[in-house]
Order: sequence, then C-alpha cells, then structure tokens
Amino acid sequence: MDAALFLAPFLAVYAIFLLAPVGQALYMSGFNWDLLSPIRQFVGADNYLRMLWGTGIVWNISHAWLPRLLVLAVTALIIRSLLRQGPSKTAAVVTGAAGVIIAVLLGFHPGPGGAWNDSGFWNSLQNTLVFTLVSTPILIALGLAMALLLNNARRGRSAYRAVFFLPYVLPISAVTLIWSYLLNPDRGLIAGALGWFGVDGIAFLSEPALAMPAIIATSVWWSVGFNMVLFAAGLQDIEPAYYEAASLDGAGYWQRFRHITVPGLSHVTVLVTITQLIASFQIFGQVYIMTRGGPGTATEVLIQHVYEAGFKNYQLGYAAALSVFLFVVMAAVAAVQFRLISKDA
Amino acid sequence: MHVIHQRLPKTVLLPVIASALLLSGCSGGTTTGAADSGQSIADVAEEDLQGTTIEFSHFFGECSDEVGDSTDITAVVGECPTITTLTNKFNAENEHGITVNRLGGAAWDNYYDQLNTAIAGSTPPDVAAMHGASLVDYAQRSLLVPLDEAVAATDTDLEDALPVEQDAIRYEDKVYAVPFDVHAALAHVNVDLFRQAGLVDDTGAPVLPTSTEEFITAAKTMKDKTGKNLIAIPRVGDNLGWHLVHSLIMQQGSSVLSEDLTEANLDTPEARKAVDFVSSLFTSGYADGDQTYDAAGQSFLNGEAAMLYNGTWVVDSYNAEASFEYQATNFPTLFKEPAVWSNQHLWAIPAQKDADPVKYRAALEFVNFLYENDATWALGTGHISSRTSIVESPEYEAAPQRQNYAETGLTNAGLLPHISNWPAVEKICVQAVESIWFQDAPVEDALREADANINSALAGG
Repeated sequence: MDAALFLAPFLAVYAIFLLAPVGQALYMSGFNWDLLSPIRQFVGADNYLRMLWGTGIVWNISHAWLPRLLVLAVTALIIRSLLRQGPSKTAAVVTGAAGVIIAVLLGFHPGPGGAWNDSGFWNSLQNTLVFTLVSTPILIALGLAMALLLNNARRGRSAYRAVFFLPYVLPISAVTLIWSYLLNPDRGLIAGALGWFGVDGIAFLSEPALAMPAIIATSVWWSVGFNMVLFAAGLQDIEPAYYEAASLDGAGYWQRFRHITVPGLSHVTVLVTITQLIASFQIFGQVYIMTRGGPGTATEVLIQHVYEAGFKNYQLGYAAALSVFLFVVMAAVAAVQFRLISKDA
Repeated sequence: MHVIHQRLPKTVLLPVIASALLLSGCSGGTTTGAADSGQSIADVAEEDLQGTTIEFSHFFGECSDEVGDSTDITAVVGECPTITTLTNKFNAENEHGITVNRLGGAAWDNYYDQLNTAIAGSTPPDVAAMHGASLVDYAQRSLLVPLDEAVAATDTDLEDALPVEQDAIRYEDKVYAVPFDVHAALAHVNVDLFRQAGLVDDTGAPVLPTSTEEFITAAKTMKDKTGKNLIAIPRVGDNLGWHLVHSLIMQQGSSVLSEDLTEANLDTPEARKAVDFVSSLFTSGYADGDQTYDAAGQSFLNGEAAMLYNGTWVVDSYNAEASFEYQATNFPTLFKEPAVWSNQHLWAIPAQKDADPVKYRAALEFVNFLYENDATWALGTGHISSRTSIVESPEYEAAPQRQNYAETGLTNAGLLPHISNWPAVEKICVQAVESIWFQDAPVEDALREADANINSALAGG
C-alpha cells in the first residue's frame, strides 16, 4: 500500500504522458484520421494492409535468401544463449517461433507486375535497419576505445573529455550544418583538401552509395561523446586493485581488458547498447536536414516516413500505424537484448 | 552500477513512447467550418473596419530589418522586400484603418507545417499565402472562406486573372483565393554561346529547338562548336529535374493522373519518353548530371552551359549578374502542345472559429490591395503577374525580359493536378525519377511502382 502511494505520482505522469499516447496511437491506427478536419472514419486493418501488403504479392523460398538466413542464424544464436542462461525454455521457444515466422514472411514480395502498396515504407525500414546495424556497433566500440584512451591519459583528461563530449551538446541542426559544409563538393573542407591533390570534390550527399555513410559519420561524431562519458564513468568504478593483482599474476593488457574491463563494464554496456539501438532506430534529424531522404530514396528513414504521412499528407491514421510498427520492432529488439545481456551482467 | 541496472526499463521505454507522444500531440483537430458568409462579408460597414488588426502569414522570408518602415514600392527587388514594403504601404495608407501584423517568418519548405499546426490549434492567420497546388487540400476540408460573393464588395476583378489562375483559385466551382502570381519554369539563355554555336536566326536571336530531335542536334552542335553543354538541369537534391520531366509529359498531352484525377497515370509511354529523353541528355554528356540547384546556376553564370532550366524567380538576379548577353524565355515546346510546369502564389482567407465578418472583410481588403498592386510584385520578383491586364501592359512589357516569357503565363503554364494531397503525389514522382537517375532503377519498374504508391496516397488512410 505504501509502495503504491509512493509510486502513484510517477505512475500518474507515466500513464498520462507515456501509456495513454501509445494507446491512442494504437486506436488511431484503425482510422482514416485526418490531420486538419474532423474526419474519423473507422477502417479496421486497412492502414496495416496498406503498409505491409501490395498487389500481386507472391511467396517463394529463394527470395531475399541472405537476409532470411541471417534472421535464422541470429535466432539460433539467441536461442543458444538463452538456453545457456537457465532452465526456462519458454523464451527460447518464443524466440525460435518468432525467428522462423519472420524468415517465412520475408519470402513475400511483389511478383511480376505487382507492387507494394507503400514501397516507401519497405525502403525506409531497410534504410533504418542499415543505419542502426552499422552505426550502433561503431558508436559503442568507438565510445569504449575513446574512454580507454582517456582513462590512460596522464594529463588533460577532463579537457579531452569536454572536447569529445562537446558535439553532443550541439543541437542536431547545428551538427548537420557543420557536416553539410564539410561535405559540400564545391566549397567544403574535404573538397578543399582533395583539391590539393588535384582530386575533384566528391558529392557525398548526392551519391547514393556515399550518402548513408556520410550520415553515419555525422551521427557518430555527434553522439559518440555521450557513450564515451558513460564508459569513462564505468571505468572509474572498476576497482584498481583487480588490475594490480592481475598484473602481479602476469596478465597482459589484452588479458586484463578481456577479464577485468569487459565484465566490469557490463552494466554500462547494456545501458549504452540499448539506448543506442533505440536512438538509432529513431534517426530523423540528420537525414531530414542533410538529404531529405535522397538521393532518390537512398536515405529515407522510418521516422521521416511517419512524419511525412502525418504532417505532409495529413494521414494521421496511417502515420499512427507506421509508428505502432516501429514501436513493436523496437520493443522486440529491446526485449531480446534485456534477456540476453542483463542476465549475463 | 546497480542503480543503472534498475533504471533501465524507463530508459528504454522513454524514447519509444516519446515518439508516440509526438504523434498524438496533434490529434486534437479542429472543427472550424467555413461559414457561408459571403453576404455578411459584403455587408460589413466601413466604420466597423476601423481599428481592425489582422494576422498575415507568408513564406517569402523575413527582412523587416532591411526594409524597415519603407513604403517606397518603386524600386523594390526580391520577394521578401517587395511583400514587406507592400504590407508597410497598406498599413500606412489604407483608408479603413486596418493594421496587418506579420506572423513569425517561415521559409517555403516548412510553411505548411506551421500553417497546419495553427489550423489544428484553431488559430489560423487571417490571411495565408498558399500555392495553387495546395489550395484543394484546404478548400476541400472547408478550412477556407469562399470568396465568390465577397469579392464583389471590394471590386476585386477576378475576371482579369490569367486563365491558369482562374482554375488555380477555384475548387468545385467556388473561389477560395485571390491570385498573386504564376511562377513557372523558363529557359534561361546565354545568347553569346548560342551565337558562337551558330544557333541563331538572321537577326542574331537564339533559335531554340522545337522537337526532341532538334534538341539533341542543337546539343551536339553546341558541344562541337563551343565545347559547352547545351543545358544545365539541377537534378540533385532538387525537384527541378522532375519538373522538367513533368513539363515534357504535359507537352505530350498526358498527365500524372487519370483524366478524372482519381488514379495514377505515370506508367505511360509518354512518361517513359519524357524520362528517357531527359536521361539521354545526361548520358550523352549534353548536361551535367551531378548538379545541385546552386551548381547548375553557377555553371550557367560561368558560361559553362548555354541554357538553364530554372524558374521565374531568378530572372532579375541573372539579368543583373550575367557577364554575357542574358535572355529569359519560354521553355521550348518539344512535343505537340505548349506546356510547362508552373505553380501559383495565392492569398486565401482561412475560416475562423468565430467567423467574424469584420475580420474576413479586413483580410479581403488587404488581399485586394495586394491584387491591385500585382504589377509591383511581378516587376520586383520576376514572377509572372496573375493579371492579364498587367501582363499585357506597356509598363510590364518594357521591364527587363518580361515580354520574352509573357507567353508562359498567358498560355504555356500548366496547372498542376488540382487535387487534395498533390504534394504527396509529387514527392512520389520525384522519388521515382531519382531512383531511375541515381539508383539505376529500370524506368518501367520505377514508374509502375510510383503508380502503385500514388494510388495508395490518393486512397488516403
């Protein structure tokens, strides 16, 4: 009873500002819900159908076989890791079933003459996944590496920390402006440097193969400092005596890193990985300001698709359906990570 | 470390839900209906207008520091200074005692977000700038005041509007806006290069191609004689590349949508022909395919390209800056019908919750003043005046370059499909041609996919 009272203020705010909107998004996704007029027409699952289906959709075993194999492989790895952790088999069974279902569903695609209802959705989902899968490991590894270097620095530690953390303080609009100038093929700093070697400026943001890497580089520069500070704080928490003892026992740098630093940082790693994955899934500002999703559709991401459906096309119901999908994907990824990493930690 | 662990669930959920919050924040919607208030607007007495203040929002930028209180409209240049000076002049001189307040500045690319937010919050401005292609979105939802009867009270002569404006300001035969200009695609020509290449007539005036074959021949001649590209097209990070394709689709008598405007019609031989022709200019080296808006403009000004595909809005600055003999002219008709991409700037009066006829009337008086002073706008910005009498006036014809492209306003300017949701449809078209140009998508696939996407967008959700 006391606990409930104690929690009540927080739960009230949580329910009003967090749970209710999620419920409302779910509710709205069943409607043709116009942004500007009172049109509220119940359409059932039409919004989901529009998002996930198309005309002339067929299924075969060999379509997109590589991503599907990857899904199965990751599922197998997760199951193995789950089974190692303890006696509960439910999680493993659920994961296995989910993995197989996803792999089967990925076999659907438009046949000859067919098309997705909203191919922009699939494209933006793919771009979001690419961004997330590439940027997250870089952000974590680089954050950790910088924290380690900082930890070993004898002088100016706080100065370096401030310098590396500074970009994170900047608003995304400022960050993207800086990088847009840097990357400008005519007047940019990089083009200028290339000019010394007689090389023409590279149009990073208008070349489909380079636009996403440029956005990833921008994102890393912007937010790696935050991960670094978290890791640096984690490193401070590791008892120095462990390192001393290990050194006396003849452990080398790699062995100390592997057996003391990594386990000592496991909680921070969980935190960084999960927050980072979620932040990466929600990428929007960098893309919207630097490329608007272009060239073509090469960098269009999910949140941009949601924003444009809701605010440019006035279709709040469809936008809600898209964001519910994003919510489910992120919740699933986070849940898996919790099961996997937090038990080890 | 333990603390961190326990706090994790919240850390995880917060950003997720924050994004949902963002969405639901705008679900309020409004129920303002446009009052059928034509007669009551006309009936407002002069003394009621005294002291009325109205709010005005537009997307022509913010330059009040530069313009100050100036009311001198004789020599203003550029969109922002011209509209700001006109507003000052109205505030200083109107006999009704109306004051116009400019709402916080918005650039054209995020203007509609602000307008939509204001409408959703039931606080729309009293006068709102609007593009012809966006009018239906608002008119269809009864968010604008119909003006058919009201304009009689202010003697706003809409009969004088250009034919394309007559269509642009209407939705289902009702007038929802007063026009301000037509801005359209033009050919900006480096006459010196045309002369060097011998692409001129007896009087030394440049001869523009009249078919795709002639275009290619001219491009080859230009390349051989001068080593320069015939045309610069900003297709990177800009819609102009698509606008060119769209113009050529219209020139073949086709359209992005079916005749009744309910279905996609992009997967057609005409569209393929238009895309293939424009693509061939890049692949044959007659146009630089890597140019952004800035780069294309620069290359034209530097004499690297004999022609530039761009709009009316750059005429005056090129006229002043070009180091060669510059000419702005109608974009050539390469197929059977003269047609070119255009859009219109219009003034609309959003419906208010209290539907106060006095405010509506004050708004209309201001809009009428802008329409009366349309020549100032057209001469100051390069856009084509929305009024036939002005386009055909000696003053307009005497202004630099204007008579060379008056035809674009009078006949060539094509109306964008007058439907709700056009911006969404256009975005799909832009993505389709960009996927062909930059991501090697086969033309047929890209157009078919675009058709499917357009149909989904038209169906709504």
